[in-house]
Amino acid sequence: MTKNRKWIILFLTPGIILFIFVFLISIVLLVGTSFTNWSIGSSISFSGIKNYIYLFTKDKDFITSIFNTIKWIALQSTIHILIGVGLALILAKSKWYTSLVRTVFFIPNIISSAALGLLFLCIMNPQFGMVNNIITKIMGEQFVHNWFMNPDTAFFSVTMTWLPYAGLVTILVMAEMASISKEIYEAASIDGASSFQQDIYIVLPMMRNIIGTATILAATSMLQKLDIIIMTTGGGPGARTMNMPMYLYNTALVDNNYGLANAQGVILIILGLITLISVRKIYRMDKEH
Amino acid sequence: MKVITPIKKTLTFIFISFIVIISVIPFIWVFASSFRGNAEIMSSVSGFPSGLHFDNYVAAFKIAPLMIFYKNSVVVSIIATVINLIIFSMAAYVIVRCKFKLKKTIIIAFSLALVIPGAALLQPLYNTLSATHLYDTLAGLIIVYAALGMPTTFYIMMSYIQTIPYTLEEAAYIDGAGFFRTFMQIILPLTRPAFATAGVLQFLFCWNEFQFGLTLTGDKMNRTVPIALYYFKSSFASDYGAMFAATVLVTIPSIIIYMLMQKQIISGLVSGSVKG
Amino acid sequence: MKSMLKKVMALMVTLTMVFTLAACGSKTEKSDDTVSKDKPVEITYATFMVGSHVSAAAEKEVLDAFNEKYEGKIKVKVEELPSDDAYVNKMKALAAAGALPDVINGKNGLRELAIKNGQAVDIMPLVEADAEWNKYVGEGAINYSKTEDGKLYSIANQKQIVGYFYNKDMFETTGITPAKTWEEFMSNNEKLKEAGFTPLAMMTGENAWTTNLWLAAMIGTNGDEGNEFMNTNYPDSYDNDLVVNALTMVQKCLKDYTTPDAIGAIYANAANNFLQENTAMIANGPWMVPDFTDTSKAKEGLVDRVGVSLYPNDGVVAQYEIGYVLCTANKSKEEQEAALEFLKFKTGKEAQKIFLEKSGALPLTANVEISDEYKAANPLVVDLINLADEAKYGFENMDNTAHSSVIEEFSLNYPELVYGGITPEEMASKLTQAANKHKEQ
Repeated sequence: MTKNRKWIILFLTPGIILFIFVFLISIVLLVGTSFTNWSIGSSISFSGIKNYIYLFTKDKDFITSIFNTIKWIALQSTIHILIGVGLALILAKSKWYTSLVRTVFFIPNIISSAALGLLFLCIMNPQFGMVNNIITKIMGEQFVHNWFMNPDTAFFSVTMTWLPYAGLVTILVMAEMASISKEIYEAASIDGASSFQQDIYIVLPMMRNIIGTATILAATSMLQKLDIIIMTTGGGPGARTMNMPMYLYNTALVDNNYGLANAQGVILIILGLITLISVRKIYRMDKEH
Repeated sequence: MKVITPIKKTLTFIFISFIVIISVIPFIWVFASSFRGNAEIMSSVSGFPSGLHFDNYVAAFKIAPLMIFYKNSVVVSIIATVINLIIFSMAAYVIVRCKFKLKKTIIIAFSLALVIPGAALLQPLYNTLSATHLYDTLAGLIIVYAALGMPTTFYIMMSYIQTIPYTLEEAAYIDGAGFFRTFMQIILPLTRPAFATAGVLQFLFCWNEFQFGLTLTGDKMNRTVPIALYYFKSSFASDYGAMFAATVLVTIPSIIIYMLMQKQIISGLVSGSVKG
Repeated sequence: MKSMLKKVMALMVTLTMVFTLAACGSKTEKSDDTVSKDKPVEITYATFMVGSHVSAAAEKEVLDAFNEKYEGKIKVKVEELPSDDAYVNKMKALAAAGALPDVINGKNGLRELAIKNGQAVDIMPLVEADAEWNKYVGEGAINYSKTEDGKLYSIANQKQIVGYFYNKDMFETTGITPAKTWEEFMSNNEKLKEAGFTPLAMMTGENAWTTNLWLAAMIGTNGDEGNEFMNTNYPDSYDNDLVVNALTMVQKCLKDYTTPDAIGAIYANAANNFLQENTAMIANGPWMVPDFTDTSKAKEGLVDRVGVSLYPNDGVVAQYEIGYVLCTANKSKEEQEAALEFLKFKTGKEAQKIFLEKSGALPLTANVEISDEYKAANPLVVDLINLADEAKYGFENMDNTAHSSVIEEFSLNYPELVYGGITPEEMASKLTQAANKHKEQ
């Protein structure tokens, strides 16, 4: 293996250059300025860990946003993965509707978020929205409920808007599923295993890696997603649907406080790394081939 | 055993129907709204009381400079995707197959893009691009987009390459093939499904990316398609009909690319199953 | 292998440091110090009045007129930023890097940022030196934007007068007239409700525009104290009776006197509710008048059923737009002069006239006449102007007087106020907290 030293370097270098140019400098600036007092326009002055202390002691909304983010990471890593993988297993049986469903399920992910935001606002409109209209028809009496703004259902509604993300999980898993040769299925059938048992005991273990990958992508997307939130609840009511990226966006671009925002960024990165490393361990992704 | 099957079938049917409904509604709604007037969209009427507003599509081109943005988006998305796929499939291959000290570090480094909040990157990237005179250029955007898609491609390629048994490469080495040739002739063809999947995701990311596109460009001539959608929203006067018309125009190429890629994945799977 | 990788790493780190230093060191693009006589001076300008914006046509005409007039001498490079949020965010990013365009619109606190980062130019001496410009800008606009120490960092190009519109038919059926006091206002709302009409078109999304106009009116007409509060820029505290009482009234309106979708609604929802005759009143400005005759937005013939009124206690929002800031403090002499020419043009007679005709923006002084054709075509605007002249209380709205953090806080907490999560006192405290985020630390 070591004789390929020069290939290793050659194959890695472009990626490393890209990483340094786009990320490394930014991360250094991020971490560095999180220890300063930096508002847009003012000069930068060192302030030690003041930002971090403020975030953890005086900023209740930030703590709420951490909990919301963790809740959403947990939900995405479990429910969405379950739905995505389940669908992949069903579709892999090559029914007549396989390619149709697979395409259709992914489409919401293709529509730009500017349009999606307005779409949700209109569909969930308490007075005119499609959702309430359907429920009214079913229940027989006028159903008026503010899905996004009522404190009881705000969190749930926002969680629902991320359901189509499971479509991504499905196509990832399906792409790798077909690398399982038919002979393995046949051998298991001969041994008397039912289709369901085959799925659980043979397919899933082989998909361990891609499911882990999908989990990482889904979980970490909760550290980035704010476009739907911006356009529907804005993080409200209060801070009920505030997640960390949304709060960071507000701190940087509404409060103009870059120093504090970058401190939030550092905490977010740490949370993300913990999630990343945990998922890799759970799915044993570090095992050598 | 026989009793379970109808229950399973019904559950499966309900499940699939649910999936199809929640997926299809967004696009149908957007498509239908592109033919409606503002008032109808805001009042969420069904049907087309005031007729089909084909002029929304005309207005879309008039209000926003769609053609220029389209061209830029195509260029940026395709080039950034190609660069991203090449660079990170190479890196993934080396990570999976070779042993070397800094492997874990590089994996974590390349995963960092997943956990760095985008809003925190805007300012540093603006400064970096300004300093290197790449601000307000398509080249700058391409580099940034290729890098932002780093972890997704990297993980997908890593995951897929791990499913390829080493025996094929071993055979190639025994036959005298070098490292590079093995990569090109054995690995690349086998990873077509992964390439297609990662490629689609990267392309869609570039095609729909708004925030960096806005911050890192200034001239109208360099802007991309997602920015066009915001031309229809303003504080007191928004033309939602035209916005949805523009959305349809913007989304259709992505759907086409997605379907093309699906074909690649399927054909790749057929040939890939040879590698039992 | 280790040493090779180490060498590569070392090279990378060096490159990184070079980039970082270069990035921190660079400010603006290199400016043309030696301008040849035949190359026009290039200045930069950023605008959000593009696309479907009310003033997009007016803005384009002004820009074209300027480029034509100064052909060969000055060229304006325009950055288009669709939607107000995109504009503000991009300008903030540029402000942080000290790279704001030569002329910008200083809304949403951008003027303050330009002052802080040293790019804004004090134009007071420049205005005083140019009698022609001074005449069309007028004392009112200058005094409005003047700082305490007599400096002037921004100049508006339009006056804003805002009352509210009401549906005359609905009022007639209910048997009421526009309220003269706030008690009458609330009892009118009750009567409208009993008659089967929804009184108010409100919203809590975006910047809670229509809701906050009512809030500003309630405070601004509350005696001298209230009036002073709503004329103070960036107050330190909202923990006072004026604000709490007004919030209590707004709370009742949001709970009982508005549409079900008001909580979380964006402007388009509120406007739609009034234009589709779902509600009887909407607090909004004269730019809405063209919508009354637009059948794709409003019910047929709505324009004949709409009246305009001052707020109870004869109050009206009377203020100037924050206006345009000259950000050329560190540029070459040619660029400063060219940008100044542009600023003068943008806020001068011709531009004000174009903005009036094309987007219903009221001019700064009576020196720019409102033509008779315009008056004939827009009776509601004429009514509003006449009423405003009789107003007892003039005040500003929340967007002009509050920090962006406070506006954000409004939007996040109105739903909580309505659903009983917090009290008006608690909400006022939160507003104060948000205002303090901008205090110098």
